[in-house]
Amino acid sequence: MLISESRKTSYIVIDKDKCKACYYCIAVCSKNVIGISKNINRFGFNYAEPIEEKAHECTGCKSCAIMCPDIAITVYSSRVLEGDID
Amino acid sequence: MSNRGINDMDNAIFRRPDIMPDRATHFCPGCGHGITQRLIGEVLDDLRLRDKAICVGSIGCTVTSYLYYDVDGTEAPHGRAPAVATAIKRCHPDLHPFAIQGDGDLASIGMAEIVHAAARGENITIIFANNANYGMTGGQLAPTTLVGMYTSSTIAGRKEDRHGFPIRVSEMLATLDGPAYISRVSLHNPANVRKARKAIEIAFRAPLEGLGMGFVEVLSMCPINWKVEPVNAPQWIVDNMIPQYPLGEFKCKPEVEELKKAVRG
Ligand SMILES: Cc1ncc(C[n+]2csc(CCOP(=O)(O)OP(=O)(O)O)c2C)c(N)n1
Ligand code: SF4
Ligand code: SF4
Ligand code: SF4
Repeated sequence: MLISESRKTSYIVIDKDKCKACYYCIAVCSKNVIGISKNINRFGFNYAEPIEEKAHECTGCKSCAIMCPDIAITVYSSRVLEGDID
Repeated sequence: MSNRGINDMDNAIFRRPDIMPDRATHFCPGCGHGITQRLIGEVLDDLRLRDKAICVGSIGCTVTSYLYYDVDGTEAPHGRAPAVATAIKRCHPDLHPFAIQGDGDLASIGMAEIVHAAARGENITIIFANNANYGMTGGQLAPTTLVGMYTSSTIAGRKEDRHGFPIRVSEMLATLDGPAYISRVSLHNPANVRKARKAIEIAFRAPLEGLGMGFVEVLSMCPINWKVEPVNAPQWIVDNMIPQYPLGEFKCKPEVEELKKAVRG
């Protein structure tokens, strides 16, 4: 395996049943990664969720998670290795 | 095959503090107490205080703050948290009591306890959540309520001639020699939450070093009683609270300045 590139990507996971729909996370994400679900969680809140087409733009800045009063957001960073694989 | 991406190890760069059980809180949507509790959880983890910390519950919406940490706890409602924390610290100097107190609890019902504990220089940590009203009981006037502010017991707004003026607790306590560290922080945006995290860590480190009380006043969102949408509550702090309650450090003993160098962020 030849690895030609290694880059960092980040993404968030929102625990929808912890979300209370304050939308602080949406207000602070400069990349507009997060939106409001049209579905409701077990408490009846339209929970926040990563928007599929935008998710890859997440920079891993953690702002959303830092503002979340309900610790509903986990931020991950992963290294993606790109290269020729036999 | 070529140019295929492989995900190497996924690494959580932000997650729930280990010391906080995976449990939903009872707070309203957008309540600042949830952020404050998490920041304390991060500090408890970083300073490895699981076996040392004792969470002293107060009254108000932080009444069951000990439910959210895997540490021992006790109840000291109606402003008595600094007195009970004093007893714990003096009987068990190896333990570290801390309390989150609301502004009704601390600045009204328990004003005597906090002032005397501060004056005695007790080695305890007090986090003072100022949301300018009595949250739990339905949003009544607190000593911290702003002039003109609507509450359920000042339905035409707080009036100076009838209800007096708001108390700046941090500035008042800073006139005493006992406290090691006093600062006021706010939760209205991520940069300020990071600063709050740092202040809370110092408020734990200082009494742990025997330098005196660590005290942090947190300007904290209470959207439901402010009658604003949660998403507008951070701006409410900026527009209404910070002019009355300026942010910053009001007391920092020289030894605490030294300690600060160890604090990240
Ligand atoms: C002696 C007594 N007085 C009043 C109350 C009612 N009471 C319950 S919580 C509370 C104060 C809540 O306000 P605050 O400390 O500002 O905390 P918050 O709920 O805003 O976090 C009061 C007065 C009581 N339980 N006992
Ligand atoms: S900040 Fe947390 S609780 Fe608020 S909307 Fe976002 S995920 Fe939900
Ligand atoms: S980590 Fe930053 S960029 Fe990613 S979703 Fe959260 S706020 Fe947006
Ligand atoms: S009443 Fe205010 S302080 Fe109490 S949980 Fe609700 S938002 Fe928080």
